[in-house]
Amino acid sequence: MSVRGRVNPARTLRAVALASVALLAVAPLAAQGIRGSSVTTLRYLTLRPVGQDTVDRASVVDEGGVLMFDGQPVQCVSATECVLYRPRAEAHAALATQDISATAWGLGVQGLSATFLLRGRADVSGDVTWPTSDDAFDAILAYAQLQRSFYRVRAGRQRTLSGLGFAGYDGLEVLVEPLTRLRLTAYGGRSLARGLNEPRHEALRGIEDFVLDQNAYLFGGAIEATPRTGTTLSLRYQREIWADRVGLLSERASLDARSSLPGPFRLNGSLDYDFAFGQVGKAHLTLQSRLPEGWGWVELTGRRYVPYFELSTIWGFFSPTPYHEAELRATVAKLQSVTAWASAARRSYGDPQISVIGAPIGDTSQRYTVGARLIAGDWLATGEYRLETGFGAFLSSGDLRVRWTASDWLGIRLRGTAFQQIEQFRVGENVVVGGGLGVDVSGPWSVDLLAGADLYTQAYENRAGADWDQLRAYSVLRVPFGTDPGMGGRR
Amino acid sequence: MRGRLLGSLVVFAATATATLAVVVVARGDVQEPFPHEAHTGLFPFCTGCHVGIPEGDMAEFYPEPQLCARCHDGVEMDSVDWQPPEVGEPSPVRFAHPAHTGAVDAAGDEALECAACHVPEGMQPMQVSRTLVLEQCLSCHGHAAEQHLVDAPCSTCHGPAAETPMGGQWLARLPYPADHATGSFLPEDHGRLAGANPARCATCHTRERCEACHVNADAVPEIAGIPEADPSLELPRFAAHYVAPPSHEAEGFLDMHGGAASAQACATCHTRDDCAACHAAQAPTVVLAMPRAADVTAPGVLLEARPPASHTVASFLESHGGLAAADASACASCHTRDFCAECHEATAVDVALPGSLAGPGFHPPNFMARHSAEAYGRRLECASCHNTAAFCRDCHEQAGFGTTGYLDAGFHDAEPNWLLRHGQPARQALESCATCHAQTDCLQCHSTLGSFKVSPHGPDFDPERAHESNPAICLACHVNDPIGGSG
Repeated sequence: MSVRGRVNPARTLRAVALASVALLAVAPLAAQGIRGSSVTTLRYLTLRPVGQDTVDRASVVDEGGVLMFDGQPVQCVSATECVLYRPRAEAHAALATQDISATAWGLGVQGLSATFLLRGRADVSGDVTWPTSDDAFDAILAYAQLQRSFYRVRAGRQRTLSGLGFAGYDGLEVLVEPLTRLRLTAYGGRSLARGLNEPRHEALRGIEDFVLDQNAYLFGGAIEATPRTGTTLSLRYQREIWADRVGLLSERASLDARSSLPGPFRLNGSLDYDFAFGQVGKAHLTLQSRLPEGWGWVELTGRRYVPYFELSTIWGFFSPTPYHEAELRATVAKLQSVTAWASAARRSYGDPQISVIGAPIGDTSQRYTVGARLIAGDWLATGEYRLETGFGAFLSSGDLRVRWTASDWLGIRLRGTAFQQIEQFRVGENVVVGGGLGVDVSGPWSVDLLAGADLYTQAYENRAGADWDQLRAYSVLRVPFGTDPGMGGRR
Repeated sequence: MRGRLLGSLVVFAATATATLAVVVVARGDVQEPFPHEAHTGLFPFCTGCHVGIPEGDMAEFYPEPQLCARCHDGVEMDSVDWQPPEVGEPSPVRFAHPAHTGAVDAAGDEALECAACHVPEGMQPMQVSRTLVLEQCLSCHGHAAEQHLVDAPCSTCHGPAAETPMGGQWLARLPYPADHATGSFLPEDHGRLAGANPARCATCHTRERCEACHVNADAVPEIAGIPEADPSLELPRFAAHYVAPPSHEAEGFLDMHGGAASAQACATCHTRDDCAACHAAQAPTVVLAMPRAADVTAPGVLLEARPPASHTVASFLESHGGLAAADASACASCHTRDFCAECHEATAVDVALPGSLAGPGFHPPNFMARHSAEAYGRRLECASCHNTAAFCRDCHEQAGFGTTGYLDAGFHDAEPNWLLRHGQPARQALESCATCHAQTDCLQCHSTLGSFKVSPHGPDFDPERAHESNPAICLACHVNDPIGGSG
């Protein structure tokens, strides 16, 4: 039911063939060194989906203005029919992923290296489909790099992550450092769908409604400067455009800066701007001050947030409104063995400039956090409580995590949690309680194994038969291979 | 007047007497040196009295007092109270008479050859001078050194400090050679000098002094050649003093140091604990070969973690994810997964992975269990990395939360008349809508073809600008081009 045109045998075969050719091409070069890892991950999940059901209007009762049926709120869509969500049979899913990543160097040209990250997925079994599990193979990274003292060139499948978010592309990146304190970057190529590592018209066919059946291209550039020690600035521009140039997918710029100030103060901030809609997007400004005598530090942050949507969807045209937030955070780290923190924030959502029928919906929220980390010998304990009230939902959440280093090769983890499940603008007085056990084992040859399971249980107070009970289990096996290049080379 | 003078004389005499008495008491058994000159002719050979000197037998260095009594018997001659002086008083100079007996024998005249050192030139053999000895040493062992403490061959006259009878405090007060005062002495020169002439170092230093700084003292041959002090020497406690070598001052050294790193070179000043300040997780092989602080005497430089240059660019926070994905092992050299978890697992249930398990995954295992709270917080935007249609709505549909195109199904049952009131929260939390709703859900009403033709655009919406950016998407809702046509 979730696979909507994503399975594409031809595309998969093409990707496998491409990777095979690349490997065959690299092999004869007899790299002097290669370092990489194999990561095998297994995940298992049980949950209880819900589904819509209808009941006769006559069997619905009005309880203080809320229409109820069998202990659950319902909405009546006609004079005879009301709709509600009922729990369905428990379902499970299991996913296996295999990652192979490596970097090879010493290919006969000084500074030349090759990097790849390949991922295979298999939906092992289950009643529901894990997101993207129908995509059996991904070449997430596959690029060659030439690194010299003042420039770097990358060619192939790569990605950039900046204040403008994540962007993958098949193309070229050139980074030049003409001066010690100045770095210029230019990049461009065929754009890839976010998180899907494939051209968007192929990856999103059948998933998004208005994706054109053609490639898109990504172009960008950045200037990063360090005008003085402790002060850095970065300005970036990025544009995505459909291949036939019928329109843009995005056109944005970002500015990031951080600087040390006189005394114990530091300042950092960021801002991005959307040319398509002519408005400022996300921004933040943080003033940090160290406390005297190593007691810790305090931070005051002002933040603006508005979601970003590509121009290939209608969402951005719906005029999303931002929120603004002020947050004060203090961290005490006087003792090496104890770190404690607390924060408080107030958020206010912007005026949506829309007529609201009835009482306006509250558009402010407050967030509070308090936590501590304790290190005592082989024990590490972390606890945190978060409270958020206001817009759309209520969040009260606490975690306690303990790790015991039993030996050089064995670590044991216990965790417990209790939290309010978030279902925005939906009735629910329900708390999830969960806990789990995990182990991490360091084997010979740096082979590591991590495994664990967590059980969550919840009872809805006003949704008969429904629950959010879940069992989640996982194992991660990491096998490194190759030689260790040390820390040589700038990264 | 006379009385006053007499009084003064009495006081002076008393003071002088008292002073003399104090000096005598302080010196103990003050004894006149043996009057060699007065015995001229009685002792033709020095070794007649100093029997043990040619063989180095200290017990026989001086004659017994009974030998004096043979003449000074109190009858023929006055008796004397002569006692042989102490033999083997502490001295920093290494001298052994037996080593010089070869020269004495070669000369064939013992008296003359003893006198060569012990009698001033032109004097008779029994006219012994006790102030002459050092000068006479230098008459043969003199060196061309411009600075005695710098250029002289120390071991000719001095033994190793570890064997000195002078004591630790005396060692601590030794003068400072001029070449030790240069800025390059500690970081560059002293090792080379020690390799060229370890005996010179050993003259004033014991091995403990080297071990105070050198982490890998056991592996340095020059240090192994310097004797250890006997515990009874009671050396002062040496403080470690480290000076960064010139190579460490080069720009980008921190980023590049791995290429030249070796246990042999780095362990001079650094323990493995120093490396662990940064190489917290996946320690390179060279780090594992370094000595642990607990196993050595020297403390090491006690480094603190410092970020490499790549971390100081303004956009590093935003770009580090890409760097981490491209080369996770680079991050794992300095960071454990706990470090990443400070931000990335703010609300995750799972305890952070150990650094050695840092894989390409961004979220920890079981992040999904708590992802709704993370998304609700709206501080990190899921859509920065994920396509919400593929990652969010795909799964929400299977869980029963995603829409199937049939609206007004009552999911948002906390707000009566949700359809009539959804505009405000939709604009304020639009990304939440997109995780369950298809775009076409909204177009059922918000479209020129929809049921109610409700415009979704806010008052600040700039249609011409949006149209210029992507006119194609306008046609998703408008029958005709809304700017150029009649949409």
